[in-house]
Amino acid sequence: MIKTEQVCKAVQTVDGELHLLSNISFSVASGESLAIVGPSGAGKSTLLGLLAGLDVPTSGNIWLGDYCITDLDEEKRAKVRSELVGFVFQTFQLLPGLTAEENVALPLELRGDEDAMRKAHMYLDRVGLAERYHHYPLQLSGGEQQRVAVARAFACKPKILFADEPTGNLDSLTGEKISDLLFQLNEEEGTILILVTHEQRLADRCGRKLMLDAGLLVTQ
Amino acid sequence: MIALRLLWRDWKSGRLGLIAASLVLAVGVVAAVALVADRVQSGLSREVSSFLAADLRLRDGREIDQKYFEEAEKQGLATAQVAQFSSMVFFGDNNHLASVKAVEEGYPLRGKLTLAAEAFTTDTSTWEEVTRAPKPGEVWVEERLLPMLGMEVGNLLEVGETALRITKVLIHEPDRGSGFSVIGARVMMNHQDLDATGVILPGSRVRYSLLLAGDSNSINSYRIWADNVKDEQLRVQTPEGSEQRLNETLDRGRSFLLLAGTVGLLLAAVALALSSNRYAERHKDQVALMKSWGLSSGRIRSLLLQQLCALGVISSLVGMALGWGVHLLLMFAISELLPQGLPAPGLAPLITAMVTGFLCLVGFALPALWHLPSIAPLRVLRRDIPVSALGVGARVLIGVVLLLVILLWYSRSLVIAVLFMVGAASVALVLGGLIYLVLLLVRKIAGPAGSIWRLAIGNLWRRRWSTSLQSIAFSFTIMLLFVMIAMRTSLLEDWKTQLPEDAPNHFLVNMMSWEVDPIKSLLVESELEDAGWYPMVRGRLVSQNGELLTRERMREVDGLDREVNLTWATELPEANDIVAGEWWGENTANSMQFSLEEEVAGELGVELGDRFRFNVGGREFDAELTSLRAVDWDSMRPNFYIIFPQGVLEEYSPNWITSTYLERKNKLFINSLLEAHPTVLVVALDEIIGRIRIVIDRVSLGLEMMLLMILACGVLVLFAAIASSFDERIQESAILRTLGSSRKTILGALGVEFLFMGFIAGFVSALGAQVAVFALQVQVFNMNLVFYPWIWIAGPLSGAVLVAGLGVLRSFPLVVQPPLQSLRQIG
Repeated sequence: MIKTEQVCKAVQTVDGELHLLSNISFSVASGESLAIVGPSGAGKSTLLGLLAGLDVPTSGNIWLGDYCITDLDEEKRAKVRSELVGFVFQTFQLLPGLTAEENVALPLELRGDEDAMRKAHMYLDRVGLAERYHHYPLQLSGGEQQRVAVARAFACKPKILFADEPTGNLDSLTGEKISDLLFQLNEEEGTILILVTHEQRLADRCGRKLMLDAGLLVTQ
Repeated sequence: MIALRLLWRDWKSGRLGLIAASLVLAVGVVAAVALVADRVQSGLSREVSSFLAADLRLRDGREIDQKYFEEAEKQGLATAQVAQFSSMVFFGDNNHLASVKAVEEGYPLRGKLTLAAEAFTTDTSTWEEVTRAPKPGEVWVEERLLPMLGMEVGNLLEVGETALRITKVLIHEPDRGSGFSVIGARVMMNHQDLDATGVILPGSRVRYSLLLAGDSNSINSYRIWADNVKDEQLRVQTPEGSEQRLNETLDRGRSFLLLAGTVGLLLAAVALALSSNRYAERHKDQVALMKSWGLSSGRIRSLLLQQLCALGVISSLVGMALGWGVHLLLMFAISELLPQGLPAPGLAPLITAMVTGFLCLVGFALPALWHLPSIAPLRVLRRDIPVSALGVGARVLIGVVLLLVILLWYSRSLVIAVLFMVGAASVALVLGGLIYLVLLLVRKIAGPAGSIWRLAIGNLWRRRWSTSLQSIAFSFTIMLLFVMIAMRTSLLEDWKTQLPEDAPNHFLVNMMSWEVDPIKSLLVESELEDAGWYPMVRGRLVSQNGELLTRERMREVDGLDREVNLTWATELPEANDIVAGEWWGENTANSMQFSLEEEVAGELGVELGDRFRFNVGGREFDAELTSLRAVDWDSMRPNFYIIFPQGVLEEYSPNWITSTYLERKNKLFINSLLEAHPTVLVVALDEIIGRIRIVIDRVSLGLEMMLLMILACGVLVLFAAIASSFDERIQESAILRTLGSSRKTILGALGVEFLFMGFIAGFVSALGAQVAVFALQVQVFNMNLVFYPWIWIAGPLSGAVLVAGLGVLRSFPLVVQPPLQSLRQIG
């Protein structure tokens, strides 16, 4: 379902070219869960961004499903994202002006789903926020905000869910609950789960681990 | 639908408030100005039309040709004929050379006649206003005719070969005009009786008029037709062209309304640009998120455009409603001053307002939002990814070009448009430089200051670019408000100065030298004051430095292309200022010299020291030009192009002119004067002055109402400017609170920051306002320069108080709330 081939990413700095990722190759099959781990600055989030089609590699190829997204322009990559991809972020990325139900319903509405609000309610119920439909993010705790983000990600029924440090902003107990939720929904919905984390316990719950160091794939 | 839903959610979250308010105010200001201008214009047009008693007047020394009546009928215009002439009228053995006016049924087509049942009644409630002519066989007479001939209302007045019954006293006629000469008292009769009088014979001096009235399109097409077919002698007169002084007053009022609208629009546009910028700033994350969900740039742009359009339509509708409301309030306030039954305003003002609203969106909101769809989706993972917003330069350029287009379209005055743009650019440059310098200076000397000051100055320095931009916005707003207040004050003062309560309203002309002393005594006996006595001799310029002044050349010199009145004076007359050379005063050793009015001097192309030859009554003499004068022609005093010292013109049998203020109750003075000195000509200006005062009162009230709307726009800009750096300030204050700083310290530092910005902005705005007012006074309003010392005190003071007050007031709730809440609020 996901395949990378000799993926490199470099950026220009005042001191010359900086290699963020070098020759990364691996693949992930349907239903698998993969943790990308490594020290800060190893290139974890950069790789996540490339896999999700949010950015393009300097060289190499990436396939999402049947699409080689490295051959596509941004507009076409966006189409692939809308078809296959969902996200959960460390900073939740909820829209502060929208209520919990509106945050979850928004991506569905943007796809023209007329049943968006009902589905939003359904997923909020599933993440245990049935009493919080009309609350704004400011009125929710960090854990609750991340639940809304998880509900929003799964409501779009993605084939692949990317999670960037999903428990990084939460205390360990809340983080544990969120990771339970992620894995439970991942199992129920049959999605590929690819997450970036510093947390060993979270990484250990994934089927596979990908260790990065200084832009190089150390183990997989 | 989704776009509307997103818009509604933005509105609920409070992000749209400032944008919508700016747009509503922009549209509201334009709608109010355009509606009021439209209605006042139509009201005043009616008022001005009454000066002709018609919408258009044809005037000729011969009977008006039949074709003009036929065309009027074709265009569906109402008509009335008027014939005016001087004729002796008799009552028994008494007679008087009256100014007779024969009017057709339907006269006056515009305005009203005021009649009284008896002469010199002080009970104005018995006066009646009518819009009809005297019936055949009747005559209405000016009240002073009755004691002159020893008559009463009801007597028969002989006019030529017929006798007409006096049924009313004529108090006021709308088309009496500013130059009505009352050598003879007015006698108004029906046109049908004209033949019976037998006074009009071939060669009689009669002024024939055809009055026309109708809708503006028909009048315009008739005027164009008449201009094309008329011969040289027939004059086509419009109400606007008939009363220059009144039109000048109206023009200034209109210009001010336009200026007010322009300022309001400009302020609202600045507020819109600032609030759109903040809106875009706060939407970066949302757009990045949408892109991560797979929305294409095109779809996002389409959503944004749909939202903007919806916002434009809704805000425009609300703005138009606001403008309509303000216009109704304003019309209510001045309803007593305007003619009743004004036609409802057309759609044009509302369309103008709506188009303006959309143009503002395109020029000020769209450039701020345009780049949003191109935000990299990777921003959801890395917020440090730079957003390539449309460059500030490009945005400013778009804004400036669009503003210029709007200003040009709206004010129809390139001068106003360019003045504003240049003024704004100058203020921005001066202020930017000044702020930077002051910040540098303050930073150096703030070292030993207390923590609040150090913190505030540190913040200002760190944000020096945004500080400068905000200060420019503050300064711009305060400057424009000052310009409006100063121009309003200046206009009102200028009007009051020109037309003081006791401004001379009657000119006495054609007095022989031997009559001067007796008439002076008559004035003193009647407790009347004169505005100076001036001898007049008719003469013309013949040559300049020996070169003949040809007729062709003199045609270019308005005022000197014919025989003019020459005068002499020892003292420089009031309302005259020497602008070049020297006034002779008592030193008239060189009596063969003269002083010339500066405008005609410019047209003639003369220099001090030039020698001119004059022709007076066929005799010629030479004199040297020794001074140029600026003359205030609006001073209601006798004024002259050419003045000589005493001793040059005495031998040419001058006649004299003076002016005096005469109340209505003292009008019998004219009878006494004319009885004793029948050749004296009295020119009455009281009617026109009274009307100008009414118009000034109306326009003044309008100006004040507009000022209130402009103030609202100004406050909005201040709010928008404060909001533009709000998140950053709140985040800082939350961090400082977390680190243990007291609320007092943080509020104090915020206060000092805003105080500083407000003070500097106020100071520069005073400078800009004074320069802008000077430019407007000279270029647009044609007024004298006035220096406003109060601006220099009010500027920095009001800037500091306003900006600090609004800033601290807005920040207070967020500073006192728990720091964690603040941090979460701004994400």
